[in-house]
Amino acid sequence: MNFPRAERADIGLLLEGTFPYVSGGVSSWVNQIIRGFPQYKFALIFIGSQPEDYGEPKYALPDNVVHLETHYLYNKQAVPQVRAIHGDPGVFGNIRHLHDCFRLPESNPDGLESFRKLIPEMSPGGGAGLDTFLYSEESWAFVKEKYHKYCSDPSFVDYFWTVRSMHAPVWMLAEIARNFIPVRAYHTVSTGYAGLLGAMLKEKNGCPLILSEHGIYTKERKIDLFQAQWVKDNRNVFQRDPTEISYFRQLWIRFFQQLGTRCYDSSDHIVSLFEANRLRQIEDGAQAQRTCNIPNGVNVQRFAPLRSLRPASPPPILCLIGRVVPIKDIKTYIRAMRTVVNRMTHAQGWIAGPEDEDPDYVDECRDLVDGLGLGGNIKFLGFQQMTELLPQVGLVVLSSISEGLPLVLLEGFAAGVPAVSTDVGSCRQLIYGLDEQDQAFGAAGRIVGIADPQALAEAALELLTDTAVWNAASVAGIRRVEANYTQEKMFDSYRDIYEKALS
Amino acid sequence: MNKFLLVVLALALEFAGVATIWKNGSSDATLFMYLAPHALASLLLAVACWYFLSGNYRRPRWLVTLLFFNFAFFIPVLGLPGVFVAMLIAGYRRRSKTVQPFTNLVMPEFVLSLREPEIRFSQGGIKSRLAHSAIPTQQRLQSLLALQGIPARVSSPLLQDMLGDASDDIRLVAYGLLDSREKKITAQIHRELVNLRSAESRGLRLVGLRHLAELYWEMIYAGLAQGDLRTHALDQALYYADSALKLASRDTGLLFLKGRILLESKMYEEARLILEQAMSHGLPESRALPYIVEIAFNRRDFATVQVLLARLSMYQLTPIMKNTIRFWVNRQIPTENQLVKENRI
Repeated sequence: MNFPRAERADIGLLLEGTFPYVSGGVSSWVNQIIRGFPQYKFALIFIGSQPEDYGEPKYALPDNVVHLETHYLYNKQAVPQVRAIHGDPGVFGNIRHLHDCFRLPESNPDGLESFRKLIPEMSPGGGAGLDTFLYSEESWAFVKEKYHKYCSDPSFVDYFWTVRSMHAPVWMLAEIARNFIPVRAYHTVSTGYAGLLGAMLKEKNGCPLILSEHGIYTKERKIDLFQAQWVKDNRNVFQRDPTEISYFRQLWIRFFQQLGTRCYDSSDHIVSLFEANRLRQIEDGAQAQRTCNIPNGVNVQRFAPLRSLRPASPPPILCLIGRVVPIKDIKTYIRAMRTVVNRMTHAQGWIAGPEDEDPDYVDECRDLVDGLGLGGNIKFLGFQQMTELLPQVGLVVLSSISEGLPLVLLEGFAAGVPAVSTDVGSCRQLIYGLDEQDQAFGAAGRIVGIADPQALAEAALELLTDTAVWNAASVAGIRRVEANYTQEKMFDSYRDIYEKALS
Repeated sequence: MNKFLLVVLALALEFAGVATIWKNGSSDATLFMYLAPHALASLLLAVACWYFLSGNYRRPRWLVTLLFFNFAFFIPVLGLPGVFVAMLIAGYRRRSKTVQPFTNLVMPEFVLSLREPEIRFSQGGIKSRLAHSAIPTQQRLQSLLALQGIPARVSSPLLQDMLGDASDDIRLVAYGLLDSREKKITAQIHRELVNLRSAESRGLRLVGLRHLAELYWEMIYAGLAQGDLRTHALDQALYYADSALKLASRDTGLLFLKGRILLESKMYEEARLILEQAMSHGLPESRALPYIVEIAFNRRDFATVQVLLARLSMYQLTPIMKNTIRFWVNRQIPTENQLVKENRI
C-alpha cells in the first residue's frame, strides 16, 4: 500500500494500535480531529504489534494527512552483529541513575535530565546503542547486579530474557524518532510506546508535545498483566507469598508505568476526557498545571434529523454499539438479554460493531447466545452506519468494564435514544449529569454496576416498558449533548492548544 | 614388594660396590666384589623398572626385566644411573599425561530465596481489608489477589461485592478473576457438548451427560451465576442429570447430585426422595443425611432435624457439624407454633 510521504508537516500525530487500522472510539475521534483542522498538515506514525494483526486501513485518509508511516514493534528486526564490547562506564553510570529515578522518583528528581542525555547515545555506535545493550560486559554486569539486588524470582534465565524482550522496542522507537520528518508539534493519543516516542521526539527536537489520553493506558496494561497467562512465575511453594504478584509481572507493570511517566514528564499539554481521569493522571505523576479536561463532542446537526424518525413508544430493541472484544463485556449484555426476553418475549438485542479483532471472543459470545437459547433474539450486525441504525433502536446499551467518554452514548443522545450503561469512565456523568446545572437536565438513561446482567436487564426493562420515562430520558439526553458535548466545543478547546503549541 | 624400596636397595648396593673399589683399589678380587653387588643392584632396579611400566609395556615380563638388567649391568658407569634416570623421567611423564575425567569442583552456594518475601499481613482479615475503602488501593489489590488461592465457593461472593468498588483497579481485577473462572467452566461445557454430539456408545454418552450436569452444578456451587442465569444453570444441570439417570438409574453419584440440585431449586420433597433413593442404592448415610437434615430444617420440621442429627452423631464429623449436633441433640425443641407465638420466627 502506498502511503503519502512529505518532507515536513505541522503536527506529528503518534498513534498506537488505533487510526487508521483499528476502528473504534479513539480512531473515530482521531478522524474527527484531523478533519476538524483542515488548516494544518498532519504527519502520522502508526505503531502496531505485527503487520498480520491488522488488515486494510479502516478509514480513508483525510486530505490534510500528508505523511503516514507504519512501524511494528514485534516484527522480527535485524539485530546488530555480535562483537565484543566493553561498554562506556560513564554512559552506564547515567543508565544506573535513570533506573534509580524510575525506582525512587521522589529522591531522584532529575530523571528527565538523565533521559534527555541518554537519547543521543541510543543511536548505532553510541554509548547506549542496541549492540551495547545486547552484548557489552557493562550491560551484563548491570543485569546481574539488578537481579541480585531486587529479583524475587529464582530464575536468572527468565529474568535475563524478560529484561531483553522488554527493552528491545525502546531502540526501535529511538530509530523512528531519529528518522521522522520535521514537524512543529507532536501530538500523542496515548502514553505507552507512542507516548515514549513522543517524549523522545520532544527531548530530541524541542518541539512541544501534546498528550490526549482517552482511557488510562497504564491502568489498562496493568489489568491485562494481572490476568496474563504468559508471564512466568518460578517461585516454589516456600517462596510464594499469595499476596505478592510474581516479580516478572511487577517488572512489566513498572515498565509501562515508566513509559507513562516519561510521557507525562515531557508533555506540555496533558488532556483527559473527564475529571476522574485527570486526577488519575496526576496520581500517576502528571503535573497538575499542565493537565486539562476536554470532553469528546459529536456533530449534533448530523444526528438531529433522526429524532423525528423515532416511533412514539419505545421500540423493544436494545443495541450495543462497539467492537466485539472482551473489554466491552458483550457476554454480560447477552446474559442480560436472557432476563429481558424472559419478561418481554419479542425483545431484540442487536450487537453492532466489527468482529474481526478477537475472533475467539466472538465465538465465545455466539456459543453463549446458543447456550442461553437466545438465537432468535440476538443479532450480530457487524459494522453499521449510525445514522441508519439509531432511529430503529429503543435503547443504546453499554456493558463495558472500562470506557473513556464513549462517543456512541453521545451519538445516541443526539439522535434521541436513551442509554443504559455500566458505571465506568465518564458514563455516570453522561447519563446523570456532572454539576448541578447539568444534573437539572435529568437522567438520560440508567447506570448499573459492571458484570451485573440482572441489574442491566431491570434497568433496560424499566425504560422500555414506560413510555413516559423513556421520553423524559430522551429529552434529557438531547439537552445534555447540545449543552456540553458538541463537536464545536471540542474543536474550540483543541484550537487553543494547537495555536499555543504551534506559535 | 614396594617398588621404591627396590630402587633404594639397588642404589644402596651400587654405592656399596663402588665404595669397595674406592677403598681397595683395582684388583680382580675387588672387581668381583664390585660385580656381585652391581649384579644384584641391576636385578633389583630392573624389577623395579618393570613395576613402573604401564599396561602393554610390561609383557613379556622376563624379557622386559632382562632388557633393563642388561642396560644396567653391561653399560659401564652410566648403565645403572641411566636406567634410574630413565625410570624417573618415564614415571614423571606418565603422571603428567594422565587424563582425569573427573575433577573436584567447589560446591556452589545454594540460594534458597534471593530476596526474602516480606510478610505484609496476617492470614485472616482479607474480607475486612477489602471492605475498607480507606486502605490504600495497592494493599487492597494484594488482598484481592490473595483470593486466587481460595476456593471459588468462598471467594466468588467476595469478588462479586468488589465489582461495585469505587476503585477502578479493584473492580477490574475482581472482574478478571471471576471472568476467568466462568470462562474455564463455559469452555469445558462447550467441549463436552461437542463430545456428546459425536458420542455413539452408551458409555460415552453417559460420561458426557454426567460431566455436563456436574459442570452446570459447579457454576452454581462456585457462585458464578446469579438471578435468571442461576435458574438457567440449575435447569440445565437438572436436565443433564435426568438424561444421565435414564442411562444409569441406579448410579448413586448421579442420584446424589440430582438430590442436591433439587434442594438448591427448593424442590424439597423431590430432593428428599432422590437422596433416600441414593442411600438405598448404597450412598453412605453420613454423606446424604446432612442434606436431608437441611431439607427438614427448611420445612421447619425441627423434630426430624433432631432425630436425624442424633443419627448422624455416630459418624466421623467436622468440628462445625459436631457443634451443630451439640446444639440440637438432647434439647427440648419448640414446635413451629410455639416459635410463632413467641415471635421468634
